[in-house]
Amino acid sequence: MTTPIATSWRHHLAPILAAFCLGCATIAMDTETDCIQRHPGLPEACGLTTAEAAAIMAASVGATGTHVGSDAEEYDDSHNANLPDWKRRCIRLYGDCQTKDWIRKKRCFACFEDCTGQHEWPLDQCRPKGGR
Amino acid sequence: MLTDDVRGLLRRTAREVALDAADVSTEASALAVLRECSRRITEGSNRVGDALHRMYRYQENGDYDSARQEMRDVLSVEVVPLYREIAQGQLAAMADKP
Repeated sequence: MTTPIATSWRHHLAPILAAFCLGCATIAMDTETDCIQRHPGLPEACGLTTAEAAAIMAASVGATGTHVGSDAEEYDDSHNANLPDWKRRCIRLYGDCQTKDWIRKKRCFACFEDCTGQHEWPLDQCRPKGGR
Repeated sequence: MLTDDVRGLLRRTAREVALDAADVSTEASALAVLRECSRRITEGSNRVGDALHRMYRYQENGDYDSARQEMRDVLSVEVVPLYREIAQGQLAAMADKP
């Protein structure tokens, strides 16, 4: 059975959350990469440590095609062990989105930004191909 | 404010996460539905995302039995149709693997 997911669940939930005046900060659209770029050299302005900011921006570099190294090694994220689980998940899945057979590869970075903003990878937007 | 539009949106979201017959008649019940939808989306996304990543590592090492088991483990607990389809798709894609 094909599940027609035309829009992100977040687009469904955001107005509902607003209607309930619940956690309005959770639907803020600013992302960590935007913040880091606006405050170069000042990761604490974004509530991040230097290591966290570097890990997030390193993952975003892949969107510009500047990653080097093998696909399997590139997203070994053991060096991110100090990051929260949700951040590590966003970085890992960004790597999988870019290197595996996923739909809408051009959206991988947008999905990564969504993930770092919402602390959850938008599988309804960026996910593996196939099976239907 | 719980308008008819918000109720409709909430019912539609609830169906998409296999939460059938969601009671959105009152603010309290609608809030409970909203929380359950959000929980299913977040937990399912994390479950499937982590399982996919482990599956890819097993595949890269040629261990397709373990790769398949990751997706079977997802299917044993996951109820959201989209996430189940992702897992089923990955199992189908490995059908011709050793």
